[in-house]
Amino acid sequence: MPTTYTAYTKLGSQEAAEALGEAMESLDPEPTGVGVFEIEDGSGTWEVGGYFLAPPDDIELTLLARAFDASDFVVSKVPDTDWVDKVRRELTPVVAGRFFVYGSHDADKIPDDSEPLLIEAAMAFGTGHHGTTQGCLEALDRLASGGFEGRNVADIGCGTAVLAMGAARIWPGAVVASDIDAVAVEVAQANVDANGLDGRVTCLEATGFDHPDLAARAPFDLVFANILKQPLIDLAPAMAAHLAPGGYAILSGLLTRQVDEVVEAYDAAGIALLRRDTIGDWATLTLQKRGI
Amino acid sequence: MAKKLAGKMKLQIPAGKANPSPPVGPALGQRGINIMEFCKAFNAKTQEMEPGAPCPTEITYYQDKSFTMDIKTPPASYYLKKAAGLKPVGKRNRPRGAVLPGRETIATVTTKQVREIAEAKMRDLSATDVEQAMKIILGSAKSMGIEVKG
Repeated sequence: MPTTYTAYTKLGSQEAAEALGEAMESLDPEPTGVGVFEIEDGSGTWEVGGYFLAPPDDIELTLLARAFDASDFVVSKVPDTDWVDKVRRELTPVVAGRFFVYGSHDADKIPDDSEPLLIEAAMAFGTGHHGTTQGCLEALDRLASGGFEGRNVADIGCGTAVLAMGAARIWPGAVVASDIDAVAVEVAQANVDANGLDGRVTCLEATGFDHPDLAARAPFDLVFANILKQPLIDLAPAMAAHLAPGGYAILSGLLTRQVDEVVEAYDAAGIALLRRDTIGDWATLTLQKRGI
Repeated sequence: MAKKLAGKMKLQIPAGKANPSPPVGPALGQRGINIMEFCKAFNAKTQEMEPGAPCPTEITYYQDKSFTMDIKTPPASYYLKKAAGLKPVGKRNRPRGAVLPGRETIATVTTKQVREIAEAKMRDLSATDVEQAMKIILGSAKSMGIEVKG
């Protein structure tokens, strides 16, 4: 592999980092790639890096760093690494309750007593490698362990359809998975096929519950919505309208500090909090519609 | 599904030829993004394009290692050099523009070629019609020392 180089610097805001990233593109020698990354330590620091096929010009880099009030660039040779292998080792299977979420490279590691879900980390959210997805799978596992059987389940904002497929793995009933993003719906359908769940999970493109198929299938006895705080709040009245009395909602995508606001909106809509779980900064809520 | 942003990067990747070598391998690998899934998706999305044409690609990746990509058309300079028949030079095997643009004419292209380039790049240019897009391409040509004739 030819020797390649990286030049990295740090600075204090996303805006400045993006501007510096753009400016790096006109360096000579020009970078083959420029990345702008948030450093995930809560400090608000951003990293800007360029990839070069020839050693970058130190003077140009110094001037650029000064102009953008960034720290001095650190230039290094890119280590000769098998990046594909490195990523595969990092994308390890995720265990959430009885569910085993894995990429195809870990197909030989499925435990006998698990419910396997094959998900490649690709172009839809919901790979299992996030506290929100794990939290929802664990909540599903708990409901099932408690004796509940979902006969009519919806996954609103399904991403990879990991939650819908989890429900279809353990219950014989119908599951519908919808997403606002057409790419996610394509990925969801591909995942459903790859997991042998074709015909069990229906994937469709919809904003919230706004689809004739969702209206026709309601009321649901379990609805997942792993989205974000505000869309969850906006969804509360529609959730109440589409849930059967006594039906469950498993919600995630919200930070622990956002829980009260979401719980309040759902309580006002007649859906009461049963349980709250936290993984890292992320909360998962299990709720039940009143009126059994 | 909630998309929790982790970062963005912009890479120049040859159409239909993404592979784990630099910059794709290290750029994605250092962030734990699934390189082979990215390459598969990128190559599928660019299969109708001219193989090897450099595509600026913005990759947004999320906290669970999923990603999206926005693939732009190749830079105007790439199309212009190709239309002008400039030969690739240097380590990166790319055609070189003028050393003294504005004072030196190194090649010529036709108005018809400029129109074709404008049409090819239309979706990425801030132009409302092809004529406006052609003006942008003409500006690029001038700055590269490429004259437009005919």
